[in-house]
Amino acid sequence: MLAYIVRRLGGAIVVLIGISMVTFLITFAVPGDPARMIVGPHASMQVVEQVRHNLGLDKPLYIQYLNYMGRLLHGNLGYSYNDNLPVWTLIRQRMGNTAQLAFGGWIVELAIGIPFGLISALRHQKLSDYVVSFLATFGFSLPAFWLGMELIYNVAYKLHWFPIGGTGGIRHLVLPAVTLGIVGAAFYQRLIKASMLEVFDQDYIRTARANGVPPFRVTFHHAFRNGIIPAVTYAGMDISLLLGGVVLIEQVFNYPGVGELAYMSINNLDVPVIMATVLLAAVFVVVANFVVDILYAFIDPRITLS
Amino acid sequence: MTLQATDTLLNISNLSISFKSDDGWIRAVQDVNLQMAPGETVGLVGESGCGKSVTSLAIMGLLPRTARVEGEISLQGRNLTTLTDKELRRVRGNDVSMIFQEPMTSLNPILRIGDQIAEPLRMHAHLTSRQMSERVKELLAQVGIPNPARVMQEYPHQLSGGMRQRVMIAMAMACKPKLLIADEPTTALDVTVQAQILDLLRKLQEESGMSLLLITHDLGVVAEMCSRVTVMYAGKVVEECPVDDLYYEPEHPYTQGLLGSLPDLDKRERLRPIPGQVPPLWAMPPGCRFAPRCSRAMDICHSTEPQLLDVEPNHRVSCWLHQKGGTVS
Repeated sequence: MLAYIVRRLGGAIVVLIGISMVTFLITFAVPGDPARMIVGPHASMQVVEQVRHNLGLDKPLYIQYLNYMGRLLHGNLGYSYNDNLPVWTLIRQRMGNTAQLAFGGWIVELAIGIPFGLISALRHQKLSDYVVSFLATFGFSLPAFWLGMELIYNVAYKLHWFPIGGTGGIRHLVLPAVTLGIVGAAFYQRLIKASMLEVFDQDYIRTARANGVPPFRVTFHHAFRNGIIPAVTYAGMDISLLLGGVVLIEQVFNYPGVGELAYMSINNLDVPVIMATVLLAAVFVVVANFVVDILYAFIDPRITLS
Repeated sequence: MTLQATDTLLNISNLSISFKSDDGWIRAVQDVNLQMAPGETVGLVGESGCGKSVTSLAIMGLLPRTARVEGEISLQGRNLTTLTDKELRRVRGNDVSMIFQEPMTSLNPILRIGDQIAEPLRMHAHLTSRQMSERVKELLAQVGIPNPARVMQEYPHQLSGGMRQRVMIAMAMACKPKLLIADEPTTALDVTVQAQILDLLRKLQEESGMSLLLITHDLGVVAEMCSRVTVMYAGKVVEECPVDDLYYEPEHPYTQGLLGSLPDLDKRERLRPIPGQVPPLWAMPPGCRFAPRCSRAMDICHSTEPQLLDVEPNHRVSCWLHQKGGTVS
């Protein structure tokens, strides 16, 4: 178990270094000059050069990268070019909000996807299967930004059921989480449907029925835990999709999270903030996958962590 | 030996089973008759696809809903084919239980052995959880599993194939069934383990007095275990006789062919396989279904189906060679 964790940790570090390099390169590959962005279009070339020198942007790229990584190892994420605050301060304020939103979106995905998938499998090729599959696919086809705006206009603005945007508790979370979750629910619906259909065909289900077990218990005691295993695997990958979705949803709902911060930092070529938000997301995905692998071992006794 | 109604445990009469396909109904089993007395072991023999497993699933009521079952399956005079789902569930795992060919996949991979063996008890017996756990331990010991208390806590993947089949048998025996259906119980096991499992089945049967319907393609297993045999070919019964007759006086050319395909160490001859293949269900020949592969087929065999008739007491054959209209050779 310990060896397993150490090995996974080693792998995670390699992944994170790779991501940091790629992100760093991309921020410099895009057209635009961070120094010019900071001082504005009217500053003289001299000022731009000065800023560039102060930030170390005139050094070779690999030196810049190593300097950045060196500071990172000391827990220093640098200062935002844009508003001169420590990046960590900016992120810390928003991290909790984003985690809540991503988690809320995930819950919505499961709350829709699992029952829908079960219905589809149990009533395979019957009307309810078609209805539920259509709804899931329909939800998946909706552009998240459009769905978000529709919800804001109809549910928040007209009906006053929920706040229009911002944060401040569970009520603020509902609409963005629903918007985020509806899109992803179709994946779980299909996954659960396919894997439950497969499980229902297994010999051990026939054994259960041969023992006189009624359908409800066959479904939930004998089949469900086997059927849910692929969904657990998918949940690990889904975290990254959710984080991607968060960037958009936070914009639409004016929700102060890391996604919104990442979006603004990309617009401003605020390299330290871009680096920090991307790395944070990467850490999150790596950790989530690790948790999923451990969960796996709990659900399926055949899997041992080694 | 014509069985009296009173000492018949299982009575299958004129059982036909069809499945719906794109081209209409396909009949997998036709007009099967089978009687079993309490405590008796009957072998149901035939190649794969001959309908023997489908017949056994029909007894359990485990066929898919798309299957159509005609005829009658009675257990102690009660027709199982007319029972509601709920009534049938009270029979399954209680009066009739079943073990399957694949012990590797017949147990649920994520449930503990003890939990799985307790399942029929949970369904049919009203026991406290302590009584249940005692009973499970007792069952595991009964099927020869060492250290039952530990095995109860284990998962199927921690056991060998033979051990898993023992677990399946323990589960099937949990509610002391009157009839145990064993569908190829040893086919997937090592030869040495096969003999152990057969011994175990025989021992349990002697102790409990249950009847055993043994479905197999292995005539060696039949010789060892059964008192009577029913031979099926392409969904129909072709021969039915006491087990000794099967080996010493097989009457149907198919039965003779099956025996001829068995290796015989004393003779060291080449094996004589039956030529050709079982016809597919959707293209059954109009006459005797075995006729296209039969070396002794006559004209009538290709045009008219023979009846299953007595050739001597307790021995019935469905073959024109033994019936009026055919030339007896």
